[in-house]
Amino acid sequence: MEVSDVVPSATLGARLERGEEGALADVYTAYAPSVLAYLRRYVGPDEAEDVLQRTFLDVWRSAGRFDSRQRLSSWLFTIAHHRAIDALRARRHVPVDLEVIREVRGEDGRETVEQYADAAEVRAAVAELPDHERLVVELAYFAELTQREIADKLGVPLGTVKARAARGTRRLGEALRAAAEESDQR
Amino acid sequence: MTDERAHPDLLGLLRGELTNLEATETAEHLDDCEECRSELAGIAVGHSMLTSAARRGESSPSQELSLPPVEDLHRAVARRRRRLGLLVAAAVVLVAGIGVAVLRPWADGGAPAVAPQGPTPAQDPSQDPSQDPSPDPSREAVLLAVDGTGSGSVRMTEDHDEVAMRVQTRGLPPAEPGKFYYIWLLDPATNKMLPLGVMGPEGSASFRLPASLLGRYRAVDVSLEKDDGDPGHAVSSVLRGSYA
Repeated sequence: MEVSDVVPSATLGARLERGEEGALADVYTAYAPSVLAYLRRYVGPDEAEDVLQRTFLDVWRSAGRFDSRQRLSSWLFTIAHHRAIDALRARRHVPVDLEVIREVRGEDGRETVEQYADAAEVRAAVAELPDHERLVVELAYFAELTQREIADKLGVPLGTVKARAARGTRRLGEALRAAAEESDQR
Repeated sequence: MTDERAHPDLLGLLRGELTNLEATETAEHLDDCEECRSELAGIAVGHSMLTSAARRGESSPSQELSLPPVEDLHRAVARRRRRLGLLVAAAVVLVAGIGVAVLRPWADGGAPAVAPQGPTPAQDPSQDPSQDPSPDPSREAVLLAVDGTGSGSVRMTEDHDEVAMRVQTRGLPPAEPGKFYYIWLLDPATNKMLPLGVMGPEGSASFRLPASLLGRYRAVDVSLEKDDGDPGHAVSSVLRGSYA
């Protein structure tokens, strides 16, 4: 597996820019979980799925204007950010937590978008790892299990878990570094 | 040296899974092992990114399960496509209807009283209609309301490789504070859109465009945008009309 295969964003972005069939679905598969998590935080679980759909409809409508020199995740989260603000503005008679408004709209809002875009890049790259490494990395970082707990859960030797976790983590870091360097060169 | 010391658990070290004794032994190993120091640096980058990502986003499988299936998105896109198709079809029918209404008295021998409108270059009414007329460099498209009220027209005049476009709207409600009307070119087949510019306060705007660029789109769209820094098209199109 090439390092570039682990980070799908550059390829996905170029496919989206070309209007390639299936690109939208692939972007959705790779990034919708992270975008949904972001939206839940700001508009709440009841409205998040609606705003997610509005976000991806905007992605579909604006795909022709996406410049693949941009980072796809940042572009996605900027759209999600604006749709979240729209949803909050539309709540004319429902009190909205001031902290939420401050976080999503203020200077911190842009920073938050970038942080979520970073996280989405990582999650999308994890999804591209070989299955045996991906599973261990997900359990270690997103389910917060120790390597021994993972070994017990999967019924494999601890040494195997350590090797897979270390290889997966290193591969992920190399892939994201390579993607960042490639992005800088554009 | 044991095998364990030969290959210390570097990820365990970063994740705080080692005992104090194991951590100390790993540190001693790293003092003397260039290869493991390099390995640690490589793993640390991934570990840092994963730890940061884990702080944001869904962490429990139950939350992941509620992600709407991609088929829902496909259905929403298909609905939007159908809606766009109907709007464009309605605009074409109206434009064609106006063209027929204008051309009909001409076919009966009378000259049209007004400049013809339609999706094709209009003919010069001063010429004999039995002869092949040279194309009028001007053409006009009708803008229809997408939701609500309002209408408008787009007049395009070719000048060599350039097209002067004037958009004139009627009956649109004034934009609320913090909002403005914006004009786009649209290709309904691909939904590709090109931003042209902000509508003036009198409900009109003028642009000069390369003819070749205009030829890559087929319709004009007017949207109501919020002044929120988002360069994308808002969901709220208010007028639309086909010119090709």
